[in-house]
Amino acid sequence: MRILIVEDSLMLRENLAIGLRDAGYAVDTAADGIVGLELSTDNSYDLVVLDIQLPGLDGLAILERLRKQGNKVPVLMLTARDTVQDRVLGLRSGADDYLVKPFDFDELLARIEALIRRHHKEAHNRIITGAMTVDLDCKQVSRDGVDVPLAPREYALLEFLVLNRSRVVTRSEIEEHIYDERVEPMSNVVDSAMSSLRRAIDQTGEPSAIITRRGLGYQFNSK
Amino acid sequence: MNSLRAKLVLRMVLVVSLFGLAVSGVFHVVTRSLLLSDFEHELETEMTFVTGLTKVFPDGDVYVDLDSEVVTEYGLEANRLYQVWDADLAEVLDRSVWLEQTSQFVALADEGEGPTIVVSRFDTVLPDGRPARAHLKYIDAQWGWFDSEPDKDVNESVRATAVWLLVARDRSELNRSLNRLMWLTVAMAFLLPMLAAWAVRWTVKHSLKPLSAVTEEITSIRSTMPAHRLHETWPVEIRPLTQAFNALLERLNSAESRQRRFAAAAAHELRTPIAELRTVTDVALRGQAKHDRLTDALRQCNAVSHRMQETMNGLLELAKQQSHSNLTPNTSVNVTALVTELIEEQRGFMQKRSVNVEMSPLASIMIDSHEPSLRMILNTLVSNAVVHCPVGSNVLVTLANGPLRVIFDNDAPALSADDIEHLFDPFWRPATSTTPEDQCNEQPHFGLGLALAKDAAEQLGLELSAELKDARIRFEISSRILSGSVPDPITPEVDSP
Repeated sequence: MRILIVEDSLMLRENLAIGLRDAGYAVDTAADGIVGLELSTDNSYDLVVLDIQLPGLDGLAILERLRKQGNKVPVLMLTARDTVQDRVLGLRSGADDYLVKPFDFDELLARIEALIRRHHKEAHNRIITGAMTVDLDCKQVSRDGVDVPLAPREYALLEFLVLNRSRVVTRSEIEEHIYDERVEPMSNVVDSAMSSLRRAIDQTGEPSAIITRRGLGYQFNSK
Repeated sequence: MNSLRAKLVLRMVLVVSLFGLAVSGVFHVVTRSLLLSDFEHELETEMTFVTGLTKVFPDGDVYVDLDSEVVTEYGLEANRLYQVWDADLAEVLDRSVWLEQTSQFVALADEGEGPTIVVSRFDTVLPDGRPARAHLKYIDAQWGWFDSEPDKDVNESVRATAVWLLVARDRSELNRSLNRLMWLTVAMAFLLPMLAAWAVRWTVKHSLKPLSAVTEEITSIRSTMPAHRLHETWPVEIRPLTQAFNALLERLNSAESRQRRFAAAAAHELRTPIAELRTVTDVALRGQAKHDRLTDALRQCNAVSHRMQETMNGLLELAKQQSHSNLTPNTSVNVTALVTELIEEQRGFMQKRSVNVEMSPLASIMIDSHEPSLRMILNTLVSNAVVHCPVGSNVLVTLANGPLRVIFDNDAPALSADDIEHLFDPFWRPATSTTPEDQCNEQPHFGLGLALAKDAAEQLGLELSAELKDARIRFEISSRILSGSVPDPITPEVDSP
């Protein structure tokens, strides 16, 4: 999952990015509204964490422009403004959630997970597909009740495929959602991650959990 | 006596009572005089009338020749009397019917002192004890024969008969009237102050009712009604008070709003560092196995604590300035050199942002002022201009004297007219700033600089104002004449470079 943080406070921005990367997200950051709008327009994010008071272009203006462009990316407003009017204004401007500073990082993570889950129309944090169970809360995967240890990048890839299991996801989508702008994605990186993931979750003698659609992309095998 | 009403009542009662008493006295005197005068006048008329009827006849007989109709008026218990004496007052020649019937005489005022009559008008007592007023006159008797026999030859001594005529009237009725008048006056003297006191008290009470109503309305104003104002339909005498009170409410409301804004801004301002602290520590604790990350988190927390301390210092400085307690004696300050020095201090940051500062003129302007405060004000304006102007833009600094003016003029495309109203509010920052925090790290600011500068300027007798025109912001600091607590007026002097 790839997240964009638009926040002018350097310390907040950097630490949020560190914490979210630790949690397995690919994270891009922007220090002002103009860069934030550019990034969110040019890239496909799973979620945007957006401050309201920003230099250049304020968060509400960014949100309005995104929604006008038809961009339905979940947006979590992060701001020091805590009045009811501010919350109402933020939510009516198209925000999906609103978190007031100072906040608990665990709460932020929980809200991000909930927003992403809601965006993918999942009712629960535990997704069961056939013999495999993916726990979005604990970032854990099990097969037939046995935990499958995965590296953060492999888990992120599996989570993305599971959340989009109803369709084929392209290689570029995977690159966009799994890797942030700090990593220069190369085709063999995706192939390598896919190969590692298959080795970890597939069982000998059974069809792979990830189906390769030649020329199209990949799809999670729910059976 | 602290009661306005009591003072007013007492004074008005005194004035009205004294005036009433004076009026009563005058009324008494005038009415009494009129009654007496009328009485005397009637007696005089009667004297004239009776004089015309006092006749001497050829046989020397003298009597008052009254008509039968008139005689009845002098009859039994009549109020009118007359009595005629001979010229020597030795013998009574005629008298009223009632006197004759009761065989009584009216005594003269000077009875017993001889025949000389000196009192012509006097009070006396009638034989039956009634008080009376009498007029006594020495008259020539009318010739009793003259109408019927004008040519009759009568002895010369008879012709020259003279008599004393006394006319008297019962004055019981007059005395009763005078008594009534006296009692009426006395009653007025007692009642008038009481009536006046009641009337004045009633009037004052009703006149002061609007004051009570104003008091009630003021009392009913609660702290939850900041927009409430006294209405404008009070009597004209009270309107200045209500208007002054409304103006006071306006000032209090404004001060309260400012305090509320300040408290909200301070709370808002503290949210960011607290949010930073929590995020830094939360993230560090989640990855506490990584020693470097913990160290980095500690470093960041330390930086945040320094920034919070700066904020607190700024707040304390603001409070100190507002209490006017930090002024040291004035010194001579070269404003041009000071501005130049402050611009030089910003040189590195200006280069980083490609900002150019043009300053004119370069002639020295000397003023007598509080150097640290002036330095703080000018430093705020210089750093404000170079930090917030767009990258690559120009800042124009203009100095002028007589009176002193220092103007900072730079592009400010992100500011709106509404922003100008709040520029000097503590912690205020525009909704969209042109400079991200990364670029401001060398110039940390907490939204207190302009508020501090404004307060300091006021203390120095300077006026700090801001104007937005054509997307350019213009800060101007100028000397002005202030009254009251200004330490020393600033006197610009110009030295040749």
